[in-house]
Amino acid sequence: MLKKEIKKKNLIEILELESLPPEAQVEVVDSAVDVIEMRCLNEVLESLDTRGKKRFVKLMDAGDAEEVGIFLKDKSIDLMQILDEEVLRFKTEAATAFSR
Amino acid sequence: MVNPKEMWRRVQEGTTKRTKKNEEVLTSQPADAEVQEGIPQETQEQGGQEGTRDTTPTETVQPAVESDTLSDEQEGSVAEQYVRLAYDLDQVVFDWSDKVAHPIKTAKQGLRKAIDEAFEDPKGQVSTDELWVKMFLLGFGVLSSNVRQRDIETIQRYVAAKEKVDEEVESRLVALQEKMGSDTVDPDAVEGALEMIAHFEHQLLHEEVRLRESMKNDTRSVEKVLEWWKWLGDKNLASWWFSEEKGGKPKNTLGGKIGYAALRAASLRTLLLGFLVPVAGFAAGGTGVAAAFTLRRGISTLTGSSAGAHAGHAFTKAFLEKSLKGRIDAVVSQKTFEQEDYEQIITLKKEYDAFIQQYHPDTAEEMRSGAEYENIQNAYLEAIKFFCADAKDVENLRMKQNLGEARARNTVRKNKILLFGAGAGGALVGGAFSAFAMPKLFDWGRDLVGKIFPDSHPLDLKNMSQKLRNLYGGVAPSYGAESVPQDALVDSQDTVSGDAEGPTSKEDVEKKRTEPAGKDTQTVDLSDITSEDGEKVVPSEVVLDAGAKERSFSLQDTPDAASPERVQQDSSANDGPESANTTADVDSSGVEQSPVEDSADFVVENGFYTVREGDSLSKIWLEKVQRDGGSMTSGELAAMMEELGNLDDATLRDFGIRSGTIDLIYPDDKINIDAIQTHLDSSEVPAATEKSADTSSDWRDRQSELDERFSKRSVPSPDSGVPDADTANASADALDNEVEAAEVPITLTPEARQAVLENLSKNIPSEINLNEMTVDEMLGAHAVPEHLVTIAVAGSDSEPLPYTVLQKYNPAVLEKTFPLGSSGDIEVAMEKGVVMHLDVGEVKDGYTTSIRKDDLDTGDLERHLQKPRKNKEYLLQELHTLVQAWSIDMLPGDNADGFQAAKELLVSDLAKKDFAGLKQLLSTYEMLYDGNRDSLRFAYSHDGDVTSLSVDGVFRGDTIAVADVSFREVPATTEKSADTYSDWKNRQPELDERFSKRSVPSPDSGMRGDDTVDGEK
Repeated sequence: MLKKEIKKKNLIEILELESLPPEAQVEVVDSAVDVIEMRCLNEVLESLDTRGKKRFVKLMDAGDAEEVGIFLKDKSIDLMQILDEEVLRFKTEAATAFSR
Repeated sequence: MVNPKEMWRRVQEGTTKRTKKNEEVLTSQPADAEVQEGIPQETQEQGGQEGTRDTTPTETVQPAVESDTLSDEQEGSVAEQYVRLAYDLDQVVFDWSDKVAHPIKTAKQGLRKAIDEAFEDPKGQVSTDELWVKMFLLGFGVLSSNVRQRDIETIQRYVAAKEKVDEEVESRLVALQEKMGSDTVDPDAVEGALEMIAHFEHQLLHEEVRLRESMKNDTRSVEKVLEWWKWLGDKNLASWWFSEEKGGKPKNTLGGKIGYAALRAASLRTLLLGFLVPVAGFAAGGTGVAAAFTLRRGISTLTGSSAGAHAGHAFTKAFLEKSLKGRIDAVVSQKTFEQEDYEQIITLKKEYDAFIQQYHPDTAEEMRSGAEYENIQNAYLEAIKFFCADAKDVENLRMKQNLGEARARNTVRKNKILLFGAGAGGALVGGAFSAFAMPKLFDWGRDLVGKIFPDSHPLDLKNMSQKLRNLYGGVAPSYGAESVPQDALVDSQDTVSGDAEGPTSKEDVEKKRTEPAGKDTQTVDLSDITSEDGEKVVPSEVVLDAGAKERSFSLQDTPDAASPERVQQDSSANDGPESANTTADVDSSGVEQSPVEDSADFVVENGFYTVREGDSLSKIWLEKVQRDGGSMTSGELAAMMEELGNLDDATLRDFGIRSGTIDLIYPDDKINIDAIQTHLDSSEVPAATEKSADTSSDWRDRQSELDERFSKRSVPSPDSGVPDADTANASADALDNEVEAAEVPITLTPEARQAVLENLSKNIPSEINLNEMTVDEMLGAHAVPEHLVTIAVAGSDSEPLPYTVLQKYNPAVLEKTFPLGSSGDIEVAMEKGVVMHLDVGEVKDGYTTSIRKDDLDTGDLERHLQKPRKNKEYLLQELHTLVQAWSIDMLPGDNADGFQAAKELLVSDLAKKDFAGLKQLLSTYEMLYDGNRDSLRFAYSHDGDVTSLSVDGVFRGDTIAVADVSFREVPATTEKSADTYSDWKNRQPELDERFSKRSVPSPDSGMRGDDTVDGEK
C-alpha cells in the first residue's frame, strides 16, 4: 500500500476491520494509541537532555497540559507534528504487517 | 471422463438439498447408525474393483469403473458414491458450501460420541463443556476430592476412544485420497477438500490468541476456563492441544502435552502449577509456569525468555501484565507472537475472503457475518492487538532507557523482582523453586498424573522428580495422592493456601494439615495479588537470580507484617526418602550452597564422564565441582544450564549431549566434561535481553546490599560487565538524582492522546515534513559519529526478520543496526548516526529497495553486507539499482515525464559513474523541481570528492515514496563527521544558495520548528 493511500485511510480501513463491531474497532485503535503515545513520548524524551527529561516527566506526571505545551514550545518541540509522524509510521507498519 | 463440475453439482444436490433420489441413497447406508455407535466403521474394498473402495457397502453401491468414460447412469452412481462417502465421513469434505462448518460439525459429532461413550453417557445428558471442564479440572487436581478411580478410567477410555476416532477419520481420508487419485474423479477437488481440512486447522491459531486474550483479561474464574474449553469442545480442538505440539514443544511427549495444557490451566492460578513445572519437563513454558508460580507469592517477576517457550512466553507476559498491573517492571519476551502466526492468520483471513468471493459472491456478506468468519476475524484482531503489544514493549524499554533507568530501578527495588533466567535455566530454577515450596503438591501431582497416564511418559515423571531432588537437595519428598493436604489446593473461590516454606517431611505435611491457617500457613487472596496496590501484596523478598554466572540463588526471609509469607529453603529439607545421599547446605544468609551427591564415584576419563542412571547434566556438573573442590550456587548452576541450553544441537552433540536438549541425557552417554568447561570458561553471559532492562542495573542497584548479605561470596569479575560496588552505587546514585522516581508511567496529555485518536480514526490532514529538508540538512542538524557505517532497516518487515538476519549475516559490518518502522524513519536513522539507509520493502508497493525481503532468503543480503565499507562504487551501484527500480507510477501528475527523463539520465550517469554528469543532473533537477516543492529532489554534495551522496526519495504532494539512500564518506582520521552540526553551519551559505527559496531550520529547532515549516511553506 502506498503511503499516499495509507495517509488517506484510517487505521480500521487499513486493517480492513470495517466489519468489526464498533467496540472492537475502538479496541484496536486504543491499542494503537498506546503504542503511538509511547513513541511520541520517547521521541520527545530523546530530544531532551537529562534536565529536560526530568522536567518533562514531572510535567507529564502532573498532567498539566498547558505547562507541557509551554515547555515543549520552549524547547522548540512540535508535539503535534511528532504525533502526526508517529501515526503515519504506525499505520505504515500496520499496513505492511497485515497486508501480505 | 466425469465432468467434475457436473459431479459436484450433483454431489451438492445430494448433500445439501437431499433430493428424493439422494434420500434413498442416504437411507440405504448406515451413516446414522454409525454415528450412534461411536466409531466409524472401517472402509471396505469393493469386490473386483481394483483401486476403488467404498466405505458403506450397501446394495445401492455401484462400483466405480475404470473406464475414462462414464455413462450418465455410471456418473450417477459415482455421484451417489460420493454422496455416501461424504456421509460416511460425516460430510467432512464434500459439502463445499459449508467447508468450514461441516468439518467442525463432524468433528464435534465425533467428539461428542467419544465422550458419551467414555463417560457412559450415551444420551448426552452431560454437556460436552461440562465434561471437558471436569476432565480439565480433574486432570489438574482442582477437583481432587472427587478424584476416583472411575474418573481416571473414564479419562483413559476417552483418550483411547478419541484416538480411535482420529485414526479412523485419518484412514478414511487416506482412502478417499486414494480413491480420488483414479481417473474417474477430480483429484483437484479432493486435494482442495483436504486442504480445507488443513485450512481449518489454522483456526487453532484463533484458539491460541483467544487464550492469550483470555488470560490477559481475567483468568481467575472457572467460567473463563469453561468458556475456553467450550470453544475447544465445540471445535474439537481440545484434543489438538494434547496431541500436537507447536513452537518447539517436545512432540508427542506427555510432559509436553500436559505442560502445554498446564500453561492454560494457569488461568486458575492454582498452586498446582508448582508440580506442573516438573511435570511439564524442562520444556517449553517452564519459565512461564515458574513465573506464574512466583505470582502466587506476590512477587513481581521479570522473565527473560528464550526460544521454545512460545506459549509459555505469551502466557507469562499476559499473565504478569494482568496480575501485576501497575507494579510489574517489565516482561521481556523474545517472541510472544511468532511471525508465522501473523502470517498464518492473515493468510487464513485472506484465503477465506477469497474463497467466499470466488464461490459464494452472492452470499459473501452473509458468510462474513457467520460464526466461522467471526472466528477468523477475531484471530486477525488478536494478531493486531499482539502486534500493538509487542510494539509497546519495545517502546517501554526505550522509555526506560530514556529515563536513565532510574525510575525502572526504583520499581524494581520496590517490587523485589524475581529474576528468572531464560529458557531451560529459568525452568530449572523455577521448577526447583516450585518443588522447594510445594513438594507435597509436586509429588502428589506426579502421582496423580502417573496414575492417569501410567505408561506413556517418555520423560519419566519419577525420573524428573529424582532429578529435581538430585539437583536441589532432595527437598521434594514423595507422598501419595492421599497425602495431599486439602488446604494446599485451590478452592472454588480461587483462594489458595500458600505455604511458602513448604513442609519438608511427611510429618511436616501432616502437622501443617492440622494447624490453623495463619501461623505458618498464610492464605493468600488472589484479589489482593492482582490489586494495583503494590504495597499491599509484596509479601517477601525473593532473589532467585539465574541470569548470570555471578548471580546468586538466594532465598531471604524478610518478614513483613502485611505479608508474612516466607520463602525459605529449609536446611532440614533433605529427609525425603529418595534423597538420602544428597545434601542441601544453606547458610545463614539464605544462600543455597551446591547440593550434590557424594562425588566419590565421579570419574572422568580423558575428559569424558559416563552417564549413569539417574544422572542429569546439572547433577554431573555439581559432582564435578565438588570433585574439584569448588562450590556452586544454584544460580550459577542455572546460568550454566541456561548457557548450555542456548547452544545449538551440533555443539551439544560435541559435548556428548545427543538429544539436543540438555535435560535429556542417557546412561552410558559420554559427556565431554572438558569441552563443556572450556566452553563455559570462554563464554560470556548470554542473551542481551536478560541483561538489558533490569539485569545489570538491578544488580548494580543491589550490589551493596548483596555484598553485605553475601559477604563470603565473590563479587563479579571486572570483565563480567557488572561494575564494582563503588562504581555501581555511584552510578545508581547519579541516576537516582537524574530522574525522580515516579509511580505512574508518564502518558500523553489527554489533548495529545485525543489528537492521536483523531488522526488514527480520520484522515490525516497534516503534512509530513520530512521532505522539507535534504538529507544533508538532516545530517547537518545532528552530529554523526564519524566511524559509523550503520544500516537502518526500515519497513515493518524488519522487525524482527531483517534485523535478525542482518546480525546473523555479518555482524561485524553492522556496528549498529536499527530496526526502523518505515522509510519515514530516516530522521531517526540519521539521529542514530545512520550512514546508509536500506529500506526493506516490497516491490509491489513501490518501495523497491536495494535490498528486498527475498534477498534475505537467497543470501543476497550477505553479498550486500560484505561489501567493503565506505565503498563509493558499491553505494553508487546500490543507488543505481534503486533508481532503476523506481516506477513512474509513483509520480502521478504533471511532473511524471520530467521525472522519467531525470531518472533515465540519472541511471545513465550512475552506470557510467559520471560524477560530473551526476552532479550536473542533480543540480539541474533541483533547479527544476526544488522550487516546486512537490517534486522529486535529490541532494548531492560535492566537496572536492564525493563526501556525501544522498537520494532522499520522491516526494510529491503528500506522497512519500521510494527509499532513501545516503552515502557519506567520512575521513577516518577526523574526530568528527564532515557533516556534523558545525560543518552544517559552515555550509549554510552553500545550502542557502542552493536552496534559495527555502529556509533552513534553526539548529536548535530539532528540525521541526513551526517557524521553519511555516516559512518553507
